[in-house]
Amino acid sequence: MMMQTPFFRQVLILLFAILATGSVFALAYRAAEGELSFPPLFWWQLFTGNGAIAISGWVWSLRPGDLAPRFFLISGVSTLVFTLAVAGFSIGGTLYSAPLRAGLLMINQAGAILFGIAMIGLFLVYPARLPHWKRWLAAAASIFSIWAILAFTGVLTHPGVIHRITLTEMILIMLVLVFQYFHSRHDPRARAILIWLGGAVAIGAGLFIVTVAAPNAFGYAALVDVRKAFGFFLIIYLGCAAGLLRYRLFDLGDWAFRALFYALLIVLIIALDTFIILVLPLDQGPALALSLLIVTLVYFPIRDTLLQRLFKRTNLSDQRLLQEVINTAFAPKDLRAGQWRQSLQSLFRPLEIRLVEPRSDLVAIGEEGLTLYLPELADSPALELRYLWNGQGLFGPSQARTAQHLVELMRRAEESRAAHERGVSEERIRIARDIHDNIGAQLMAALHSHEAGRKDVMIRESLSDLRNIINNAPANAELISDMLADLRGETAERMAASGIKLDWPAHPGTSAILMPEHSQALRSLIREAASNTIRHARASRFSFALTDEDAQIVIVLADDGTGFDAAQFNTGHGLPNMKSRARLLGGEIRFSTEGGTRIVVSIPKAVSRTGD
Amino acid sequence: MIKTTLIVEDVGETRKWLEGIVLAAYPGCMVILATNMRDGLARVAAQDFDLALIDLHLPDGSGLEVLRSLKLLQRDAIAIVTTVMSEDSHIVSALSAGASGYLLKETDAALLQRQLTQLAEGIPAISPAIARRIMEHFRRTGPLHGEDPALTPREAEVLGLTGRGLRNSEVAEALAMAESTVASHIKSIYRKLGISSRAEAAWQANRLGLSKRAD
Repeated sequence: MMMQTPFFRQVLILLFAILATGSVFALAYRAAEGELSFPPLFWWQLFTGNGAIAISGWVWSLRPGDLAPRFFLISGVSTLVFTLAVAGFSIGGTLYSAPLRAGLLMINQAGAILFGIAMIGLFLVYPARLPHWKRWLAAAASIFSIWAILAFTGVLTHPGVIHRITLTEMILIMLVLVFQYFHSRHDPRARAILIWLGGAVAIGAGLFIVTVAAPNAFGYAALVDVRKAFGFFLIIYLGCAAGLLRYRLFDLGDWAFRALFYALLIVLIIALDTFIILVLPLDQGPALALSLLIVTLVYFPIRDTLLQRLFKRTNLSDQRLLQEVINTAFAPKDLRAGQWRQSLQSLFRPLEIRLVEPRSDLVAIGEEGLTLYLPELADSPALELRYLWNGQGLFGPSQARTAQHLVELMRRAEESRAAHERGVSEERIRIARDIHDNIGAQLMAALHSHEAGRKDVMIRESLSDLRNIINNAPANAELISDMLADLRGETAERMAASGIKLDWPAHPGTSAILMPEHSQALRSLIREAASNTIRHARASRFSFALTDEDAQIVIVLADDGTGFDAAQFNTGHGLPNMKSRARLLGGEIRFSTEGGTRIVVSIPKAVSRTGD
Repeated sequence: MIKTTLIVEDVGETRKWLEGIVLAAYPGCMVILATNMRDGLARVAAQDFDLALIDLHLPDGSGLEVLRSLKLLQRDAIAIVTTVMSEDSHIVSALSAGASGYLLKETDAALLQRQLTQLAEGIPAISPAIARRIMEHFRRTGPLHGEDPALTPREAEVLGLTGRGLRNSEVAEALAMAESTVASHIKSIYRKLGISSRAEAAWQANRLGLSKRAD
């Protein structure tokens, strides 16, 4: 499974480069008699070839499935081949035998021709795939291969034949670039990429062609030493590396550098290990002991810390997941998507997180473990994580399970938050409605009342109701018993102040609950009845009784006063008001006047039960 | 006898109305008026009062500050909280800070005057909702170390009946005790409320490592 990670591919490229470079040295040592000295030009060619394959290999390791990086890699490999093949020539003119020289030269020329074909291929598909690119590529590849074979087999013998091939290739590259330029006229991003990468190739390869290939092709001497001129090709690869960030060449970004950094660190550690083993003075007792001591005390701890940091796998415990979910779910709305990405980054440390089209509600592994798909969540669009653990791992079932778990936790947290927000908004609406329906209506009635005493009573009631709304703001439903206890205390004070005896049992007699608006209505109704008794009835007793029946609650309010005048029943003393309160409760109210006033209110239990 | 009274109240009309009630209850009493918290604190610092009516919601702060300051300087002053819109929890904290009781400003003048004289004479009143809240408080805090603020069974009974809406006289009748005994039970409950909140604060402070020993 590890074979598909970018790191593995980088190691593969590295091994190939080491092998190729090593064989150059092997050839040289085999041919040489005695000491060898390597001139700067030799190193320069090694550097050019390895630089080209390193950068193109790096790009390919991160985007192995795309066509353009494949062509780019072939160009890098070709560059390595054509520089290394003739690198040994710098060591000394007579080092290699004539047949070996001829063979190496042929490898160099084949590499150069392959480079040209790879570049033609690259610009046939990148930035945009040109129409019929396969046919064009096949045609170019066959023509140049046949041409090369004819040259290698001695059919074509005129001097500079190979340079004519590369020159023609260069002209073709420029033609394709012109096509791409035309093709990208409506796509500024593609055009920017083209100008950058195409420019690098035109300058890098072009300089070589102009200074070396073109003069040679027509029998003139090269303007620059060919071995130095190889360096021009580095321009292409350095230009590409520089353009990754700015133009996202090959769809790569800054994370490509992170991947490279990790790979380099690992290589560095391996190199250091090897170095230490090689330089340990195994034959000298005290020196060996001292060296071992230093290695054990200094190097190993540093190396271990470094390795641990590099290969640290995030501990994906439930607690950790929950923490990330909470961080995200309770972040302010506009920060949530960013927090979600941050959580995913810290949990899986992918090299790249991409926005993708939503395609499923479930987490899914894609491209055989390279990617992990996450559905739309936390105000974020669907995401695709690419390259687990900075490219050192593949997404497997265990990561998918963890991610699915995370997604489910997140969904639940989001639902709870949504419910909470809904609750807050409903509560706000309820308070506003309470204030409007009760306080507003009462103040309006008070304003329009012409009787001064009644005005005061109404305003007092409004204040008392308002306090009740404030105190019960968070409560959903109220116990009837609590509401009646408050009302009993208040009524007892008022009756005592008026010298009326109160007959109201201390035991509530019911455990039903009422919704706030019903509670309010019942309170106002009983208050109104008590007020009437105090102000109009000239009574000596006021009684309250409650019976909790199966289907309803029945409240009887009575006094022993003068009763009321049936003729004025519908106008005075707030009786219509009491009737409307009873209607709101969905109940019935009956007034009778025999030896005082008697009011019977029945409230269906269905109303009281809605509070559950 | 009440000779000097402080009224801290920000609404002008209400201030005048309260002053009228105090003067009706205690003719010849000297009434000092303060309009905000700062003013109230200055008045409390400047002279002694027998009685103080303090609004909790003041434009520049809480009347609780004035109340605490008064009780600190004069333990025996009768402090009464006056309120319209205060939440029950604010009233409970005023009681635990040493208020002798509280009055609702929407009550009509005659009744308010009656309640005021009762409070000033040391007969505390307690509303059912506040009584239930205090019961809840003691149920939650449970027994604490040091000065034991737990309620006696008798006190709990008084509180329970008050919470059901019985007046002091009715509680006295129901429990077969004198009304003055009910009053002293309620005062004791208020005192314990102050102690329990102090003890709880000290316990919290200890727990957080804020004090070595709290008194």
